[in-house]
Amino acid sequence: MRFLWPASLAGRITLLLLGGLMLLHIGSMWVHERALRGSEQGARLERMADQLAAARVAVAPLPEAARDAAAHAISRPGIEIHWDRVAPLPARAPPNALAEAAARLGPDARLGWDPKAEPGHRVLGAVPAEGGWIVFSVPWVTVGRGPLDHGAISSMVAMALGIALVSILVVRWITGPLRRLATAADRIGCDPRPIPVPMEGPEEVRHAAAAFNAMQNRIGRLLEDRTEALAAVSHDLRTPLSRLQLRVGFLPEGEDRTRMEADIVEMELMIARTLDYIREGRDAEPVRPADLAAILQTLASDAADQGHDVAYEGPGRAVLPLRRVAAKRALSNLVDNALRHGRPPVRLHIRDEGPMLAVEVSDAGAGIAEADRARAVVPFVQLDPARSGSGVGLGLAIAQRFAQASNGSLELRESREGGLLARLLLPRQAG
Amino acid sequence: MSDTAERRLLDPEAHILIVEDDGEMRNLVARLLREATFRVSAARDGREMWDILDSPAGQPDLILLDVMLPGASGLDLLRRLRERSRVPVLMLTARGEEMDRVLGLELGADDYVAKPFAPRELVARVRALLRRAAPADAQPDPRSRRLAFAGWVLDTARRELTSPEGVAVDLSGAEYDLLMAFLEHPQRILSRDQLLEVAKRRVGTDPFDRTVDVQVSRLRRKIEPDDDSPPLIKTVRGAGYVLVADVTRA
Repeated sequence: MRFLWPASLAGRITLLLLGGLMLLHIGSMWVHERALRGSEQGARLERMADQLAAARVAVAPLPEAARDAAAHAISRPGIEIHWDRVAPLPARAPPNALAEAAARLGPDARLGWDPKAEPGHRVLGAVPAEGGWIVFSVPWVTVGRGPLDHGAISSMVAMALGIALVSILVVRWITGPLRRLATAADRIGCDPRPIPVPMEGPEEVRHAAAAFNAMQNRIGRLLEDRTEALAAVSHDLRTPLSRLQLRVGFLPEGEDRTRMEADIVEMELMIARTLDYIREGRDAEPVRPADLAAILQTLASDAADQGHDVAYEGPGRAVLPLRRVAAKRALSNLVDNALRHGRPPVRLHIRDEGPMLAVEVSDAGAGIAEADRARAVVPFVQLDPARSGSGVGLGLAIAQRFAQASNGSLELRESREGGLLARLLLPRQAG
Repeated sequence: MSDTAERRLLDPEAHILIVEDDGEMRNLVARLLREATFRVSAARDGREMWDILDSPAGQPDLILLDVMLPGASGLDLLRRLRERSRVPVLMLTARGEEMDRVLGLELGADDYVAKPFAPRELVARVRALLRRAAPADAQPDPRSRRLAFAGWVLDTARRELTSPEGVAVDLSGAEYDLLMAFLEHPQRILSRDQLLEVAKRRVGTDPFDRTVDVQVSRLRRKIEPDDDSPPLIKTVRGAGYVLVADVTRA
């Protein structure tokens, strides 16, 4: 039965509507039919009673020998009438199907049914008259149940189709806001910005949309608070970290000092990333034509100077309207992410995708499983808890935030080497 | 170079004034610079800075100014300082606060170091600034921080290079320093050694001789992106490199 029960709310409502309306339709047809046949049967019984009464009147003045012939003369198609001295049927209650007819014919009437008789004479009856019985036989006292005709069937099918079509449309219209609510709910968490759900549709759905929006705002505020707190901490950490860095500089050269310096650089980077994330979208940096290729060349050179295998392999120039500093920040996070979580060689590329330019950053590491990709861009989420020391989980989130603020998008795929391929799509035209 | 600049360059005891509100930080930076053989004075705020500047013996060769001072902000202090003095100013900014940095450079600071910074980087920047500092009368208008060459414009406050077509072209720190060196000496051959000095100001790279060639070729790729782009930097075989364009202050 399960396969008949649709999974979607719209399907279920459609099915219920269709089923209910069909039942109603069939029921009303049946009631109508019954009433029609009932009145027809009443008229028939009336006629039969009249004929029997006429037969009784006709035989009354006649001698016994002439009575049968006189009664027979009153026979009509559909009813054969005789006179007899004795009743052909015993005095007992008539079968249920004939009760109505018996009641109409009077308390002394006898009725019986003989299925083996000729088709025209299956019902046998007798009413008392003048020292004998008026005996009659009829095909059937009720109206025969004829099959439904083609017209009725096709009208019913047409009606069912009409009902189905209308109910699908209506139900889709009713459940539309619900579907939009579900779509919005799906995106929460993957998209740091709140997605306001339109307050439309029936009252319950409007209510749900309002509750959902309020919940999103609360979550947004919570995340905002958390980010603010992190920003404050990061901000305040810079001064003691500067002091620490200076102090370490006074220590004698050696392995300990080198490691401490490396730790400090690590901490600095974490702070920088956090502040990058918070700043993205808040700076009032103007959009102006900028060379994306130059930015990628700079990032590749800087990383290469620090001994990393990073190279830019795209075109010499790629001009598009850009917030240059923000773009550099976002892309530097992608490169950083590739070096940190992937494995060299890291390759940077720019590809032409019609109205968009795609910046590709690929590495040869283990990549991110498809199921984890949506989560990888959520701020503060680290996919690999074993390496939690190596970042705050903001690299991809910063790039994603930048992409969204620039009417672009960030896609994660698998690189040719099996690592991660991060694609930042940016529109060629401002808008 | 004038005599005073020459003397200052050779003076091992250049006088540096630190203006920094955080006591520990002040002491640590002072110690760092003293170990790097500078003479150091320290001020906690603007008032103390003016006191030192007003004392006859106190004229510093360079001021290290924290722009995140309480009370009168470091930027205000910088503005008032520039009204009366051309002394080189190295700003300490918070990392990533681009607006502070740009404002500071527009108000007349000569360079900046972002906190937290590597000690070596601070010393390198101080040295570079002292080396670059020219006598006050030779300084150009501090507000004209735009250098134009062959249709290109370099905004030194925003560290932004704009192509003749109006496209912002990103530069790495090393490329910026290199370009500045060329723009300060247009149509003069700069030897590898001279350019290596420039490269040494950058921390994080090991300046090999080859680095200069690599950096110059990277810079060229950005300002001469196509094969038919006019050559702006030419190689002089056995001597070094030369910027062939005229440089004007816009």
